[in-house]
Amino acid sequence: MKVGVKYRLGLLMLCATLGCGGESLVPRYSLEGKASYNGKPIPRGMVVFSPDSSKGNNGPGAIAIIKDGQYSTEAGKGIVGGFHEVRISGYDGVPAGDLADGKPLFNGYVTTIDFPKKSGTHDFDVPLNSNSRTPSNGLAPP
Amino acid sequence: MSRRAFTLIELLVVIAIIAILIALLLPAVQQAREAARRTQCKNNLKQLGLALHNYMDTHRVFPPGSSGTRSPTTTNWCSASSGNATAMGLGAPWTVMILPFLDETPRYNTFDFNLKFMSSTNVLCGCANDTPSRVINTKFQCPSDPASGTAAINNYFGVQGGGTAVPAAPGGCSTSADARVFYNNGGLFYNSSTSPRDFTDGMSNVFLIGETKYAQHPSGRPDGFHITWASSAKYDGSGTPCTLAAARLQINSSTLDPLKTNTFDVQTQLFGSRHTGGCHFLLADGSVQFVSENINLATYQTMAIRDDGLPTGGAL
Repeated sequence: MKVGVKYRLGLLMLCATLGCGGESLVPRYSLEGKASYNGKPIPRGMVVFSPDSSKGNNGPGAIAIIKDGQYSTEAGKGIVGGFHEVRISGYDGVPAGDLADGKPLFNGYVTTIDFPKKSGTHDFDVPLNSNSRTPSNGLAPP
Repeated sequence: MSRRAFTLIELLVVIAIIAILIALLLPAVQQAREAARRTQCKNNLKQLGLALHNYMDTHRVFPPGSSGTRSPTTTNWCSASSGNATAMGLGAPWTVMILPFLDETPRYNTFDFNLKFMSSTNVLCGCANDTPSRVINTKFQCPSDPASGTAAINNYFGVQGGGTAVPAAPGGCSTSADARVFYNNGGLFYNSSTSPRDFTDGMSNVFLIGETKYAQHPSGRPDGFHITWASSAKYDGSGTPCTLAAARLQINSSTLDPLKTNTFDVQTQLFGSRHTGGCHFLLADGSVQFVSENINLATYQTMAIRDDGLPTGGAL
Protein backbone atom coordinates (compact mmCIF):
# COMPACT_ATOMS: atom_id res chain seq x y z
CA MET A 1 0.00 0.00 0.00
CA LYS A 2 2.97 2.30 0.58
CA VAL A 3 3.60 2.41 -3.14
CA GLY A 4 -0.01 3.40 -3.80
CA VAL A 5 0.17 6.35 -1.45
CA LYS A 6 3.45 7.52 -2.97
CA TYR A 7 2.00 7.15 -6.45
CA ARG A 8 -1.03 9.21 -5.57
CA LEU A 9 1.10 11.85 -3.91
CA GLY A 10 3.31 12.00 -6.99
CA LEU A 11 0.31 12.38 -9.27
CA LEU A 12 -1.00 15.17 -7.07
CA MET A 13 2.32 16.98 -7.21
CA LEU A 14 2.51 16.54 -10.98
CA CYS A 15 -1.02 17.97 -11.23
CA ALA A 16 -0.05 20.92 -9.05
CA THR A 17 2.98 21.63 -11.22
CA LEU A 18 1.40 21.16 -14.62
CA GLY A 19 -2.06 22.32 -13.68
CA CYS A 20 -5.23 20.36 -14.26
CA GLY A 21 -7.22 23.41 -15.36
CA GLY A 22 -10.03 22.91 -17.81
CA GLU A 23 -10.80 24.88 -20.93
CA SER A 24 -13.81 27.11 -21.40
CA LEU A 25 -17.03 25.11 -21.37
CA VAL A 26 -19.03 27.81 -23.13
CA PRO A 27 -18.93 27.33 -26.91
CA ARG A 28 -17.59 30.43 -28.69
CA TYR A 29 -18.33 31.14 -32.33
CA SER A 30 -16.14 33.26 -34.57
CA LEU A 31 -17.71 36.16 -36.42
CA GLU A 32 -16.31 38.30 -39.20
CA GLY A 33 -17.48 40.71 -41.86
CA LYS A 34 -17.46 44.26 -43.15
CA ALA A 35 -17.94 47.42 -41.12
CA SER A 36 -18.87 50.63 -42.90
CA TYR A 37 -20.06 54.11 -42.04
CA ASN A 38 -22.56 55.60 -44.48
CA GLY A 39 -21.49 52.96 -47.02
CA LYS A 40 -17.76 53.73 -46.74
CA PRO A 41 -15.37 51.26 -45.01
CA ILE A 42 -14.37 52.29 -41.47
CA PRO A 43 -10.53 52.73 -41.49
CA ARG A 44 -9.95 51.94 -37.79
CA GLY A 45 -12.30 51.00 -35.00
CA MET A 46 -13.70 48.38 -32.71
CA VAL A 47 -16.84 46.27 -32.41
CA VAL A 48 -17.87 45.26 -28.89
CA PHE A 49 -20.27 42.35 -28.36
CA SER A 50 -21.99 42.18 -24.95
CA PRO A 51 -24.50 39.38 -24.24
CA ASP A 52 -27.82 41.16 -23.58
CA SER A 53 -28.88 40.04 -20.11
CA SER A 54 -32.14 41.99 -20.41
CA LYS A 55 -33.10 39.49 -23.14
CA GLY A 56 -31.98 36.51 -21.10
CA ASN A 57 -28.62 36.00 -22.77
CA ASN A 58 -25.54 35.31 -20.65
CA GLY A 59 -21.87 34.58 -21.17
CA PRO A 60 -18.52 36.19 -21.83
CA GLY A 61 -18.35 39.22 -24.11
CA ALA A 62 -16.08 39.64 -27.11
CA ILE A 63 -14.45 42.40 -29.09
CA ALA A 64 -13.21 42.69 -32.67
CA ILE A 65 -10.81 45.24 -34.15
CA ILE A 66 -11.89 46.96 -37.37
CA LYS A 67 -9.10 47.52 -39.87
CA ASP A 68 -9.79 48.95 -43.32
CA GLY A 69 -13.48 48.06 -43.18
CA GLN A 70 -12.99 44.44 -42.08
CA TYR A 71 -13.38 42.93 -38.65
CA SER A 72 -13.11 39.46 -37.16
CA THR A 73 -13.23 38.14 -33.60
CA GLU A 74 -10.02 36.84 -32.05
CA ALA A 75 -9.23 33.12 -32.27
CA GLY A 76 -10.90 31.25 -29.41
CA LYS A 77 -12.52 34.45 -28.15
CA GLY A 78 -15.63 34.63 -30.30
CA ILE A 79 -19.22 35.38 -29.37
CA VAL A 80 -21.59 33.01 -27.54
CA GLY A 81 -24.54 33.58 -29.88
CA GLY A 82 -28.01 34.86 -29.01
CA PHE A 83 -29.01 38.46 -28.31
CA HIS A 84 -26.05 40.84 -28.09
CA GLU A 85 -25.73 44.55 -27.60
CA VAL A 86 -23.27 45.62 -30.31
CA ARG A 87 -21.27 48.83 -29.94
CA ILE A 88 -19.25 50.12 -32.85
CA SER A 89 -16.66 52.86 -32.74
CA GLY A 90 -14.91 54.19 -35.83
CA TYR A 91 -11.93 56.47 -36.43
CA ASP A 92 -10.60 58.13 -39.57
CA GLY A 93 -7.20 56.39 -39.33
CA VAL A 94 -5.14 59.60 -39.48
CA PRO A 95 -3.10 59.91 -36.25
CA ALA A 96 -3.82 63.19 -34.45
CA GLY A 97 -1.96 63.97 -31.23
CA ASP A 98 -2.27 61.02 -28.87
CA LEU A 99 -5.23 59.66 -30.88
CA ALA A 100 -3.22 57.07 -32.82
CA ASP A 101 -6.30 55.82 -34.69
CA GLY A 102 -7.37 59.31 -35.65
CA LYS A 103 -10.45 61.36 -34.90
CA PRO A 104 -13.77 59.63 -34.14
CA LEU A 105 -16.08 59.40 -37.17
CA PHE A 106 -19.21 59.08 -35.03
CA ASN A 107 -20.00 58.95 -31.37
CA GLY A 108 -20.47 55.28 -30.49
CA TYR A 109 -23.18 53.41 -32.44
CA VAL A 110 -25.27 50.89 -30.48
CA THR A 111 -27.59 48.20 -31.83
CA THR A 112 -29.03 44.87 -30.67
CA ILE A 113 -28.71 41.77 -32.85
CA ASP A 114 -29.73 38.13 -32.37
CA PHE A 115 -26.74 36.10 -33.60
CA PRO A 116 -27.10 32.42 -34.56
CA LYS A 117 -25.24 29.89 -32.41
CA LYS A 118 -22.70 29.10 -35.11
CA SER A 119 -19.70 30.73 -36.76
CA GLY A 120 -20.58 33.09 -39.55
CA THR A 121 -20.41 36.54 -41.07
CA HIS A 122 -22.32 39.74 -40.38
CA ASP A 123 -21.88 43.11 -42.08
CA PHE A 124 -22.49 46.33 -40.16
CA ASP A 125 -23.36 49.65 -41.75
CA VAL A 126 -23.46 52.57 -39.36
CA PRO A 127 -26.00 55.13 -40.60
CA LEU A 128 -24.88 58.72 -41.16
CA ASN A 129 -25.12 61.12 -38.21
CA SER A 130 -25.49 58.40 -35.61
CA ASN A 131 -24.27 60.76 -32.95
CA SER A 132 -27.04 60.04 -30.49
CA ARG A 133 -25.66 57.87 -27.75
CA THR A 134 -28.30 55.56 -26.33
CA PRO A 135 -27.09 54.34 -22.95
CA SER A 136 -28.48 50.88 -22.20
CA ASN A 137 -29.39 52.01 -18.68
CA GLY A 138 -32.37 53.85 -20.13
CA LEU A 139 -31.09 57.31 -19.29
CA ALA A 140 -31.48 60.07 -21.85
CA PRO A 141 -28.30 60.81 -23.81
CA PRO A 142 -26.30 63.54 -22.04
CA MET B 1 30.29 -17.03 -1.88
CA SER B 2 27.87 -14.31 -2.80
CA ARG B 3 28.78 -10.61 -2.49
CA ARG B 4 26.05 -7.98 -2.17
CA ALA B 5 26.55 -5.64 -5.12
CA PHE B 6 24.82 -4.04 -8.14
CA THR B 7 25.19 -5.66 -11.50
CA LEU B 8 25.89 -3.42 -14.49
CA ILE B 9 22.34 -4.01 -15.80
CA GLU B 10 20.80 -2.91 -12.53
CA LEU B 11 22.90 0.27 -12.55
CA LEU B 12 21.89 1.06 -16.15
CA VAL B 13 18.21 0.52 -15.36
CA VAL B 14 18.44 2.93 -12.42
CA ILE B 15 20.19 5.53 -14.59
CA ALA B 16 17.57 5.10 -17.31
CA ILE B 17 14.73 5.61 -14.83
CA ILE B 18 16.36 8.77 -13.48
CA ALA B 19 16.83 10.05 -17.04
CA ILE B 20 13.15 9.51 -17.83
CA LEU B 21 12.12 11.30 -14.65
CA ILE B 22 14.28 14.32 -15.51
CA ALA B 23 12.88 14.39 -19.04
CA LEU B 24 9.37 14.39 -17.58
CA LEU B 25 10.19 17.18 -15.17
CA LEU B 26 12.04 19.58 -17.50
CA PRO B 27 9.02 20.98 -19.34
CA ALA B 28 7.38 21.60 -15.98
CA VAL B 29 10.23 23.85 -14.85
CA GLN B 30 9.08 26.74 -17.06
CA GLN B 31 5.57 26.38 -15.68
CA ALA B 32 6.95 26.41 -12.16
CA ARG B 33 8.72 29.68 -12.90
CA GLU B 34 5.51 31.23 -14.20
CA ALA B 35 3.71 29.95 -11.11
CA ALA B 36 6.31 31.71 -8.97
CA ARG B 37 5.95 34.97 -10.90
CA ARG B 38 2.20 34.69 -10.59
CA THR B 39 2.45 34.24 -6.83
CA GLN B 40 4.69 37.30 -6.59
CA CYS B 41 2.19 39.26 -8.67
CA LYS B 42 -0.63 38.18 -6.40
CA ASN B 43 1.42 39.24 -3.38
CA ASN B 44 2.01 42.70 -4.92
CA LEU B 45 -1.75 43.09 -5.19
CA LYS B 46 -2.23 41.94 -1.61
CA GLN B 47 0.31 44.53 -0.39
CA LEU B 48 -1.52 47.28 -2.29
CA GLY B 49 -4.73 46.13 -0.60
CA LEU B 50 -3.12 46.32 2.85
CA ALA B 51 -1.77 49.78 2.02
CA LEU B 52 -5.22 50.97 0.92
CA HIS B 53 -6.77 49.65 4.13
CA ASN B 54 -4.06 51.23 6.28
CA TYR B 55 -4.68 54.51 4.45
CA MET B 56 -8.37 54.09 5.18
CA ASP B 57 -7.68 53.43 8.88
CA THR B 58 -5.71 56.67 9.07
CA HIS B 59 -7.84 58.94 6.89
CA ARG B 60 -11.24 57.24 7.38
CA VAL B 61 -11.70 57.01 3.58
CA PHE B 62 -10.00 55.25 0.68
CA PRO B 63 -7.70 57.58 -1.34
CA PRO B 64 -9.11 59.35 -4.40
CA GLY B 65 -8.68 57.28 -7.59
CA SER B 66 -7.38 60.46 -9.20
CA SER B 67 -7.72 63.99 -8.00
CA GLY B 68 -7.98 67.43 -9.48
CA THR B 69 -9.50 70.87 -9.21
CA ARG B 70 -12.01 70.43 -12.04
CA SER B 71 -15.64 69.94 -11.04
CA PRO B 72 -17.16 66.82 -12.67
CA THR B 73 -20.62 68.33 -13.10
CA THR B 74 -20.88 69.47 -16.71
CA THR B 75 -21.47 66.86 -19.41
CA ASN B 76 -18.09 67.49 -21.04
CA TRP B 77 -16.04 67.96 -17.86
CA CYS B 78 -13.43 65.38 -18.92
CA SER B 79 -13.08 66.68 -22.48
CA ALA B 80 -13.15 70.46 -22.05
CA SER B 81 -9.77 71.44 -23.44
CA SER B 82 -6.92 73.07 -21.57
CA GLY B 83 -3.13 73.04 -21.92
CA ASN B 84 -0.68 71.45 -19.51
CA ALA B 85 -1.07 69.65 -16.21
CA THR B 86 -1.11 72.89 -14.23
CA ALA B 87 -3.86 74.38 -16.40
CA MET B 88 -5.87 71.17 -15.98
CA GLY B 89 -5.31 71.23 -12.22
CA LEU B 90 -4.14 67.62 -12.00
CA GLY B 91 -3.68 66.21 -8.49
CA ALA B 92 -2.11 63.03 -7.15
CA PRO B 93 -3.51 59.59 -8.09
CA TRP B 94 -4.19 56.80 -5.53
CA THR B 95 -0.89 55.16 -6.41
CA VAL B 96 1.03 58.11 -4.95
CA MET B 97 -1.31 58.69 -2.01
CA ILE B 98 -0.69 55.20 -0.57
CA LEU B 99 3.14 55.32 -0.81
CA PRO B 100 3.71 55.98 2.94
CA PHE B 101 1.67 52.85 3.70
CA LEU B 102 3.76 50.81 1.24
CA ASP B 103 6.97 51.52 3.18
CA GLU B 104 7.87 54.10 0.53
CA THR B 105 7.92 57.32 2.56
CA PRO B 106 11.19 58.59 0.99
CA ARG B 107 9.66 58.22 -2.46
CA TYR B 108 6.49 59.94 -1.26
CA ASN B 109 8.62 62.86 -0.07
CA THR B 110 10.14 63.32 -3.54
CA PHE B 111 6.72 64.57 -4.69
CA ASP B 112 5.66 68.16 -4.01
CA PHE B 113 1.93 68.19 -3.29
CA ASN B 114 1.73 71.95 -3.75
CA LEU B 115 2.52 71.38 -7.42
CA LYS B 116 0.48 69.52 -10.04
CA PHE B 117 1.02 65.98 -11.35
CA MET B 118 1.77 64.86 -14.89
CA SER B 119 -0.62 62.53 -16.70
CA SER B 120 0.55 60.89 -19.93
CA THR B 121 4.02 62.06 -20.97
CA ASN B 122 2.54 64.53 -23.47
CA VAL B 123 0.76 66.36 -20.64
CA LEU B 124 3.57 67.23 -18.26
CA CYS B 125 3.50 69.47 -15.24
CA GLY B 126 6.81 71.08 -16.18
CA CYS B 127 7.65 70.97 -12.50
CA ALA B 128 9.57 68.88 -9.99
CA ASN B 129 6.92 66.12 -9.97
CA ASP B 130 7.68 65.01 -13.53
CA THR B 131 10.97 63.33 -12.58
CA PRO B 132 9.94 60.96 -9.73
CA SER B 133 6.83 60.00 -11.73
CA ARG B 134 9.07 58.38 -14.32
CA VAL B 135 11.15 56.30 -11.90
CA ILE B 136 10.30 52.59 -11.96
CA ASN B 137 8.35 51.39 -8.92
CA THR B 138 8.44 47.59 -8.85
CA LYS B 139 5.62 47.43 -6.31
CA PHE B 140 3.27 48.32 -9.16
CA GLN B 141 4.72 45.84 -11.65
CA CYS B 142 3.76 42.23 -12.30
CA PRO B 143 6.87 40.11 -13.02
CA SER B 144 4.93 38.06 -15.59
CA ASP B 145 4.59 41.13 -17.80
CA PRO B 146 7.56 41.46 -20.21
CA ALA B 147 7.14 45.25 -19.92
CA SER B 148 7.96 45.18 -16.20
CA GLY B 149 11.34 46.67 -15.43
CA THR B 150 11.63 48.32 -18.87
CA ALA B 151 9.68 51.49 -18.03
CA ALA B 152 7.78 53.01 -15.11
CA ILE B 153 4.58 51.24 -16.15
CA ASN B 154 1.76 50.21 -13.82
CA ASN B 155 0.18 46.74 -13.83
CA TYR B 156 -2.45 47.49 -11.17
CA PHE B 157 -5.31 49.83 -12.02
CA GLY B 158 -7.99 51.00 -9.60
CA VAL B 159 -11.52 49.84 -10.47
CA GLN B 160 -13.56 53.00 -11.14
CA GLY B 161 -16.77 51.11 -11.87
CA GLY B 162 -18.42 48.76 -14.30
CA GLY B 163 -21.12 48.33 -16.91
CA THR B 164 -21.37 48.63 -20.68
CA ALA B 165 -22.81 52.15 -20.70
CA VAL B 166 -20.70 55.02 -19.40
CA PRO B 167 -22.42 56.70 -16.42
CA ALA B 168 -23.76 60.17 -17.15
CA ALA B 169 -22.42 63.38 -15.61
CA PRO B 170 -21.95 64.33 -12.85
CA GLY B 171 -19.08 61.90 -12.40
CA GLY B 172 -19.24 59.85 -15.57
CA CYS B 173 -17.76 61.06 -18.84
CA SER B 174 -16.00 59.77 -21.94
CA THR B 175 -13.81 61.02 -24.75
CA SER B 176 -12.61 59.69 -28.09
CA ALA B 177 -16.04 58.27 -29.05
CA ASP B 178 -16.55 56.38 -25.79
CA ALA B 179 -13.12 54.72 -25.95
CA ARG B 180 -11.61 56.53 -22.95
CA VAL B 181 -13.98 56.39 -20.05
CA PHE B 182 -14.51 57.92 -16.62
CA TYR B 183 -16.84 55.86 -14.39
CA ASN B 184 -17.90 56.74 -10.86
CA ASN B 185 -19.78 53.67 -9.62
CA GLY B 186 -16.74 51.75 -8.30
CA GLY B 187 -14.45 52.23 -5.31
CA LEU B 188 -11.69 54.44 -6.79
CA PHE B 189 -12.59 57.18 -9.28
CA TYR B 190 -12.08 60.90 -9.95
CA ASN B 191 -12.03 62.79 -6.62
CA SER B 192 -13.53 59.77 -4.84
CA SER B 193 -13.59 59.45 -1.06
CA THR B 194 -15.33 56.13 -0.52
CA SER B 195 -15.45 54.45 2.85
CA PRO B 196 -16.70 50.95 3.77
CA ARG B 197 -20.26 52.18 4.31
CA ASP B 198 -20.40 53.18 0.63
CA PHE B 199 -19.88 49.55 -0.44
CA THR B 200 -23.49 48.60 0.14
CA ASP B 201 -23.08 45.46 -1.99
CA GLY B 202 -20.62 44.16 0.62
CA MET B 203 -16.85 44.68 0.70
CA SER B 204 -16.26 41.03 -0.25
CA ASN B 205 -18.36 41.41 -3.43
CA VAL B 206 -16.74 44.45 -5.02
CA PHE B 207 -13.47 44.75 -6.96
CA LEU B 208 -11.13 47.51 -5.77
CA ILE B 209 -7.97 46.97 -7.85
CA GLY B 210 -7.47 44.85 -10.94
CA GLU B 211 -4.51 43.69 -12.96
CA THR B 212 -3.86 45.23 -16.34
CA LYS B 213 -1.49 44.44 -19.20
CA TYR B 214 -2.74 47.32 -21.36
CA ALA B 215 -1.02 50.35 -19.77
CA GLN B 216 0.60 52.29 -22.61
CA HIS B 217 4.34 51.57 -22.86
CA PRO B 218 6.78 54.07 -24.51
CA SER B 219 7.75 51.57 -27.22
CA GLY B 220 4.15 51.11 -28.38
CA ARG B 221 3.80 54.47 -30.09
CA PRO B 222 6.11 56.21 -32.59
CA ASP B 223 5.89 59.43 -30.52
CA GLY B 224 6.71 57.55 -27.30
CA PHE B 225 3.73 58.93 -25.37
CA HIS B 226 3.03 56.70 -22.39
CA ILE B 227 1.71 56.66 -18.85
CA THR B 228 3.48 55.74 -15.62
CA TRP B 229 2.45 54.36 -12.23
CA ALA B 230 2.25 57.94 -10.89
CA SER B 231 0.21 59.43 -13.75
CA SER B 232 -2.79 61.52 -12.90
CA ALA B 233 -5.88 61.57 -15.14
CA LYS B 234 -6.02 64.19 -17.89
CA TYR B 235 -8.92 66.26 -19.17
CA ASP B 236 -8.91 67.46 -22.75
CA GLY B 237 -10.29 66.35 -26.13
CA SER B 238 -8.61 62.97 -25.60
CA GLY B 239 -8.90 62.92 -21.80
CA THR B 240 -8.35 59.65 -19.97
CA PRO B 241 -7.73 58.24 -16.49
CA CYS B 242 -4.18 56.88 -16.26
CA THR B 243 -4.23 54.65 -13.15
CA LEU B 244 -7.89 53.59 -13.32
CA ALA B 245 -10.00 51.38 -15.55
CA ALA B 246 -13.61 50.22 -15.71
CA ALA B 247 -14.95 46.66 -15.96
CA ARG B 248 -16.60 47.27 -19.31
CA LEU B 249 -15.13 44.74 -21.77
CA GLN B 250 -14.38 41.07 -21.12
CA ILE B 251 -11.12 40.30 -19.26
CA ASN B 252 -8.20 39.78 -21.70
CA SER B 253 -10.53 40.28 -24.69
CA SER B 254 -8.20 42.75 -26.42
CA THR B 255 -5.07 41.31 -28.04
CA LEU B 256 -3.46 44.75 -28.37
CA ASP B 257 0.06 44.78 -26.91
CA PRO B 258 1.19 48.08 -25.35
CA LEU B 259 4.79 47.18 -26.25
CA LYS B 260 3.90 47.14 -29.95
CA THR B 261 0.90 49.37 -30.49
CA ASN B 262 -1.32 52.14 -29.16
CA THR B 263 -3.46 51.00 -26.21
CA PHE B 264 -4.68 54.40 -24.95
CA ASP B 265 -8.11 53.65 -26.42
CA VAL B 266 -8.60 50.33 -24.60
CA GLN B 267 -6.65 50.64 -21.34
CA THR B 268 -9.50 52.26 -19.40
CA GLN B 269 -12.12 49.78 -20.58
CA LEU B 270 -10.86 46.42 -19.42
CA PHE B 271 -8.50 44.45 -17.20
CA GLY B 272 -6.17 41.63 -18.14
CA SER B 273 -2.91 39.88 -17.37
CA ARG B 274 -0.16 37.77 -18.90
CA HIS B 275 -1.18 34.84 -16.70
CA THR B 276 -3.05 32.11 -18.52
CA GLY B 277 -6.84 32.25 -18.35
CA GLY B 278 -7.72 35.45 -16.51
CA CYS B 279 -6.35 38.03 -14.10
CA HIS B 280 -6.18 38.84 -10.39
CA PHE B 281 -8.50 41.23 -8.62
CA LEU B 282 -8.24 42.72 -5.17
CA LEU B 283 -11.66 42.83 -3.54
CA ALA B 284 -12.58 45.69 -1.23
CA ASP B 285 -12.27 43.44 1.83
CA GLY B 286 -8.56 42.94 1.06
CA SER B 287 -8.69 39.45 -0.44
CA VAL B 288 -7.14 38.66 -3.82
CA GLN B 289 -8.93 36.38 -6.28
CA PHE B 290 -8.12 35.08 -9.72
CA VAL B 291 -11.03 35.78 -12.08
CA SER B 292 -11.48 33.68 -15.22
CA GLU B 293 -11.54 35.44 -18.58
CA ASN B 294 -14.63 33.34 -19.40
CA ILE B 295 -16.71 34.85 -16.58
CA ASN B 296 -20.23 35.90 -17.48
CA LEU B 297 -19.87 39.53 -18.63
CA ALA B 298 -22.88 40.78 -16.65
CA THR B 299 -21.60 39.12 -13.44
CA TYR B 300 -18.17 40.64 -13.97
CA GLN B 301 -19.56 44.12 -14.57
CA THR B 302 -21.77 44.08 -11.46
CA MET B 303 -18.80 42.92 -9.34
CA ALA B 304 -17.14 46.25 -10.17
CA ILE B 305 -20.09 48.37 -9.01
CA ARG B 306 -20.10 49.14 -5.29
CA ASP B 307 -23.79 49.93 -4.82
CA ASP B 308 -25.94 48.40 -7.57
CA GLY B 309 -28.05 46.62 -4.93
CA LEU B 310 -27.97 43.41 -6.96
CA PRO B 311 -26.70 40.02 -5.82
CA THR B 312 -23.53 38.90 -7.59
CA GLY B 313 -24.54 37.96 -11.09
CA GLY B 314 -27.33 40.50 -11.24
CA ALA B 315 -31.07 40.10 -10.96
CA LEU B 316 -32.54 37.53 -13.33
